[in-house]
Amino acid sequence: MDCNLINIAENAKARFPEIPFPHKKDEYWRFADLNAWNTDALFPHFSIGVPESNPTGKLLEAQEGIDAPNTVAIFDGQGVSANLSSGLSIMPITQAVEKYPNEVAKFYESAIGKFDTLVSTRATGGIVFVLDNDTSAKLNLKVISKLGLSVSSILFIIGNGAKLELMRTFATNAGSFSLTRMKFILAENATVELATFKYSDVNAHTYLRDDFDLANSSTVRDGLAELGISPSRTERNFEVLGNDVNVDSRAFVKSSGSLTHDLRTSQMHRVGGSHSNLSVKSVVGDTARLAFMGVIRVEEDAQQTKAYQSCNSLSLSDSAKTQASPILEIMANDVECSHGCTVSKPDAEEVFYMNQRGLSEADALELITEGFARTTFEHLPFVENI
Amino acid sequence: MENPSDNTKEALNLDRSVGDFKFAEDYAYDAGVGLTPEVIKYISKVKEEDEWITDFRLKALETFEKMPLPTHWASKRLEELDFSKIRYYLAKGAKKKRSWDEVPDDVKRTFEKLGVPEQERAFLAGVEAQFDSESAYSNMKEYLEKDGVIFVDSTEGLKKYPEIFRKYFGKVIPTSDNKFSALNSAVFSGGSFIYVPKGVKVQQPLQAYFRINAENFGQFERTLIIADEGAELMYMEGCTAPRFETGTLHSAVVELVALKGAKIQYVTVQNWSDNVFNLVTKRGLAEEGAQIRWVDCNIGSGITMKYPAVVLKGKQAKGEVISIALANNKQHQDTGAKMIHLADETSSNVLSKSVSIGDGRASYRGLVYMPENVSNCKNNTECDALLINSNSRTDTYPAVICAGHNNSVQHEASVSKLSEEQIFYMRQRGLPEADAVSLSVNGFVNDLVKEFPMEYSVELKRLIELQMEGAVG
Repeated sequence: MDCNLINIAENAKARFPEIPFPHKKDEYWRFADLNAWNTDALFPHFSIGVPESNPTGKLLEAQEGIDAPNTVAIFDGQGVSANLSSGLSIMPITQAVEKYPNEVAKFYESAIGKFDTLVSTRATGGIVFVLDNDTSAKLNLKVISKLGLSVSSILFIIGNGAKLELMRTFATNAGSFSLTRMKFILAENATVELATFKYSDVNAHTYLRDDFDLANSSTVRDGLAELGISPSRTERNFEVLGNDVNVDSRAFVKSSGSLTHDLRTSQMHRVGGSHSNLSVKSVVGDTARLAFMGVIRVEEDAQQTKAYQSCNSLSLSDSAKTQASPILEIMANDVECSHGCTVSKPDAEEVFYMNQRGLSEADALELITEGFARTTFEHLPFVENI
Repeated sequence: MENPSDNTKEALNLDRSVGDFKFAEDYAYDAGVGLTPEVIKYISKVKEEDEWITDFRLKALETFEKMPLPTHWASKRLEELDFSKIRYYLAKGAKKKRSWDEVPDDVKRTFEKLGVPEQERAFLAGVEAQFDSESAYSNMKEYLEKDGVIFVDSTEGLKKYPEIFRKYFGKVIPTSDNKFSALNSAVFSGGSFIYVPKGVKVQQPLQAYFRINAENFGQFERTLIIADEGAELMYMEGCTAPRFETGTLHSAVVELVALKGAKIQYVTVQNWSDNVFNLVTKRGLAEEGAQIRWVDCNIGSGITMKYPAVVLKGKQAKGEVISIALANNKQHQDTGAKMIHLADETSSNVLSKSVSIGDGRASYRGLVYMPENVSNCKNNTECDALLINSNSRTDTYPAVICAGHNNSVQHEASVSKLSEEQIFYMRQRGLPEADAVSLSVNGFVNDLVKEFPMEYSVELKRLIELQMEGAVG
């Protein structure tokens, strides 16, 4: 397949203005806080080159230590690398396209929405990681956004039997609109263990789309924590293309203030005999909202699929709002699929128990929240100190 | 062992002709094909309606024309509907009959074919039996009159009791709620208007049988049930329709109003022919301490879109939807429930079971809404789907929107197939495969079938068995 990155970028530039901003009738943006994603809200990012920012706390911490071993920092789409594990290589997409034209073309072809198309307009600026067959590597990836419009696209090509242990940290500074697309292409028997922490400052926006192409016997163990204080939209697509695939994906979302964190997931079972499990836990306080929509789709030929999905939301205040739509589309009969969704306030008995032992109400809630977060990463042994 | 799902595909290819029959039609009033203000005026004139109703209809027509089809979320099959080819009003023009003997023979024959059981025909003395768009038969039992219960058709209700019905007519489901409620508001005819006075508990279920009997003719009945404070009633409707070459549209609007402490139970068992578009809007309004329960069984039709809703407006109101859907070849049952919690301490429960056979598709689409100003509300939703064949399909599209103090929502859905072990066990004991499948399906829905009133649960089981009947050989 011929893959011309300049054409891809030009086509995307032509298409971008034609795609409407998210609107009420767009089912894929149902529940989203549309006011946070319209022209007025996003215009400042397009008009300012480098907004002023002064990161503190966790956000600042996330931007430090970029010269540590096994660490790659991506500043507004540009990679700065340190020593990488052997077997793992990094290259600009302009170079990778020679060797992996199909993969690169498919990556950009799958952009159909407003914001993933915006990422494609910078197709020539992508980065590709390649992990050789039967090797294992650790990587610490920091995606740091400072520009008004900060775009990165990153492709991971994981070889047969290879194993990648990846820690991702997103730091989006004040005034920045960070748009990131990542795709993980897993060959047979490949494993990805992925922990993601997202931080953002005020007046920022973050858009993240993750895609996973999963071949026979590949495994994904995944944990994501959405901890930003500006509107976020996260889309995660698991494409099960082989049998004996194992996906365990968990997300923890913390919304407070008047913020909406928006999470869309899909578990597409194209081939049978695989297993996917997705769980979302959220803690929503103040007047914040969670918008979650998750789809499990089992195609006609994907018999013997097991797919599960759950969404548990804790409301810490009366004005906190949870909006969830867990969707099943099942076209094969010999499957086990289910989803569950609960919304409640913290268990009064649990809080009482902790009060009795000298913890204040706030500390008790903190502890319950922590427990929620902890379960999101308990299957990823390399994650410490949540 | 051979794979049972391959066999059952053939086995369960039902004989739909069971419900296929029709008699020569002979109508006194016919509004012709198509939808124009003239058609609306004709309907209004034939029905000798007041001016406000004609205006209401004409405004609804404007709304209908302005509104787009909801295809951005619903099935694209709706585009097959050609509104200009539908007959919006047909009537025999026969006067109401006071007793069973006076009902015309051909109408009776139809009821006979419908399989209305003998003992139920006796009940028909208290039944609003709708034949096509006009009530062919209406008789009130003495006890209903004695208690002051009003049980009439919609035309009569608006004409004779405007002070009661006008207050709520179109208030629970506004004309502009959706395209099909607007259509119904423009061309409605038939349907029941019921008012149960304060404290009256109607012992016997109120029933309505109706069916479609003319090609290209949509049935647009409108039902409004008001239970005054502390009143109780159960309303039952059952429908069947003969098969036609082209699609037929059934688009009803059902509004329930349960005032303080009232209880309304609305039971539907439905078996449309599979070229029928069944697009129904059903919603109930429950005041303080009131209970509304929708018990719904959908069998047949090409596509059914029906999401019974309860607006829980008063403190401690309760809403419940019990639903069974059976989607056979080429059928799409798009059903669900909506629970809108607008007051404190309200609770709702949704139990839905669906069976998909052949390439049938059953979808559950639900909404649970609890805004931030309500507290201590609870919802429980359970959806179970059974897939019979390898090409059967099921979907679940729930939406949960929850805020407020101490509210809790739980939703669960699961998908399963027929248990091979169960089928094997029964076959070992000499049951033919078809019977085993039928028994297994009946077992799957059994706990919900029990929720139907006795007469209906028997009928329902018979309907499910009928679906499995062609299975032998």
